[in-house]
Amino acid sequence: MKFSLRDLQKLQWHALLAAVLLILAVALGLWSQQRSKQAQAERAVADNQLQQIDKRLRQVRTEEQEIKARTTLFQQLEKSGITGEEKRLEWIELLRELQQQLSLPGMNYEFGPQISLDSVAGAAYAYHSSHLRIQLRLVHEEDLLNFTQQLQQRAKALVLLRSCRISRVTDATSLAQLGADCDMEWVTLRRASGVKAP
Amino acid sequence: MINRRLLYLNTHRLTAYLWRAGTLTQEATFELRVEEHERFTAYLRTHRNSHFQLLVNVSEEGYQLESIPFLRGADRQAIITRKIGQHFFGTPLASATSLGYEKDKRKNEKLLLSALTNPAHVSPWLSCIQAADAPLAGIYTVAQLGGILLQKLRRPATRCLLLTLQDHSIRETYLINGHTQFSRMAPLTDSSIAGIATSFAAEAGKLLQYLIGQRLIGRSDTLPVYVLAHPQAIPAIRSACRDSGNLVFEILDSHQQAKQLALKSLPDDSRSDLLFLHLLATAPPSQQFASEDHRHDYRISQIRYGLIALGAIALLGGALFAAKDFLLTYRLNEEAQELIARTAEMDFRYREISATFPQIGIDNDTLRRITNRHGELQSHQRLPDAAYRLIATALNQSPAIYLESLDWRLGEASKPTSTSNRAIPNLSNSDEVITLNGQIRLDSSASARQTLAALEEFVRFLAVDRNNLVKITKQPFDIDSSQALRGGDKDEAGSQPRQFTVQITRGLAP
Repeated sequence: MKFSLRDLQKLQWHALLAAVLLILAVALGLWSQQRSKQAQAERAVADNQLQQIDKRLRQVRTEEQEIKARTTLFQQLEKSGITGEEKRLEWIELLRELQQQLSLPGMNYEFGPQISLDSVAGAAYAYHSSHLRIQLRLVHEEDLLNFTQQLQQRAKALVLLRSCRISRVTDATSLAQLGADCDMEWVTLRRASGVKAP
Repeated sequence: MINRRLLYLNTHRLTAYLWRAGTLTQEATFELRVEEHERFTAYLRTHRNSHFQLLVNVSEEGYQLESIPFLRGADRQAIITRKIGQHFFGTPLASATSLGYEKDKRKNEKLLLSALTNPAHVSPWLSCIQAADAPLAGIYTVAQLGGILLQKLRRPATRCLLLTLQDHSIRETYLINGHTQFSRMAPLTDSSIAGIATSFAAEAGKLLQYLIGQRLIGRSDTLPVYVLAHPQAIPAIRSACRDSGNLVFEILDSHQQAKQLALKSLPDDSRSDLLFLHLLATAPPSQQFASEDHRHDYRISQIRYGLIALGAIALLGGALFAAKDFLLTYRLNEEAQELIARTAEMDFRYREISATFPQIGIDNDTLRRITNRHGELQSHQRLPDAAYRLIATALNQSPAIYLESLDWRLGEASKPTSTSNRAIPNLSNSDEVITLNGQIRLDSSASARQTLAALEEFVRFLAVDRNNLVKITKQPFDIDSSQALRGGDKDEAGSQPRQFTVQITRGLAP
């Protein structure tokens, strides 16, 4: 069978219709496939969310007592003043009060700038620390122990003693028998800036 | 759905029928006049999307049995064309039907060559069909349909005669195994039922004599004769067509047979035109007389419908695929909804349990992290009291040791020189390091050995705890072989206090 131009003209509309039908079929297939993939993704997300909440639920059930204990601890931290902004005014008042209370002949101190101890990006809370270098004049070495012990108990921060050097004082005019030079970290818990409370 | 239109051409006129689901509707009749050709062309143009089949019932037919060598493909077609040219010169309307192969060694193929020997009778109509671009599926003869008719009516005789009435003539067909071997048309002079009955009986006898004369059958052979007739004509035909020695008649009721063939348009008289047209529509013979030129528009039409069918199949396939995907999507959506509902339910239960906790405004993960870190930091909250007690006890037991300074620190971390610029402090040290600087004060008569012994004893008191690692970092005397050792009358041993340094490392359990 031989085709002429006239034959092709006779076939053109049917060929066009067939092409349109083919395109429609392909489009329909692709569209339905895309919908199917979208549904699969949505189902996967829903499944993931269910797994997460299921895990949290099981965890909260098994760790109910633990969470309550942790909550109590957090509340204690809040109550003791460890959480929130540093209360440096209260800190120096405490230092003066302890000096007077223990009758320490001399005291010099220097608080360093606050730095973050944790580098957790996006975390709601982070621990921060301020370094304290303090020099004390002591009558007895036990004064140092009492001083540091009182600090740890009463300061509105978690006081971590890092080092202490005691040496004899040669100045005969002073009451002080000993000199102490100590380093401490005053740790507080602060909400990260820009992170809202849940 | 493709409309099928059947064109019936006899010696007087051409009649067009529409065939639809077993019903034949006569649409037009065209007489054998030139002016009718235009009308026929217009009719064809009106129905150019239909497929046409032309059934010819004329007396100018030729049949010839031939035998050709066992060939295939183009060679076979060439020899068939040559044979047709030899027997039916000058007509393009010819066909060849294979009747099987001879059972000898050469396996020659037996052929029945047939042709419409008067093409001038058909040509004007074919010209109209070509002018109208009408798709002509094929040209057929009534004789070709005889075998198919008997096969459909379950009359499987090896050899038989079929007598039918068309127009004003009787069609006589001799068949072997359903294949037409010979056919001829006898004019009908008397159209009454009695005349038809008499003609059937007479023509059957004449054809028998002819076949015997042609040695196509033997003189003593019995030949079944099937006569197709209207129910009202059957009694007359039955009385006229009595079985003789060679001929055994069977009269077929045309109405019953039409029903058996699922033809809904029953014939009004004994003419069998409608049955053959219906057969042509439902079971056309594989061979036909039209050349490929005549069927050109039919091929074009086939391609057209093929394209549409291809598109439709593709669309159907796409729809089925989409339906499968939609079903899957629906199921996935159902599952997702179920999962979301379960999530909401679990979240509600979680909130219920969480509500029993003291409300502190932070989530559990953060709470866990904060409290864990607090515990970790708190574990580093130490005082030097234990170390001081250890040293005090040792000093009480060593009266010769005089302490000058005491340096306590956690780990090996050095003191920061400035508090203004520093890195993150390392709070993970778990060892206490105590550095003692002191003097050994003994009597002036004490020897160097006694001085060292006093220090050794002090160190032993310090190391009373197994966790303590005590190391003398500075001896009261440099008796190390790597150092120079000087002495004289002025530096007698014990004349002045000797300096020493001791380092204690205390491992602290977390």
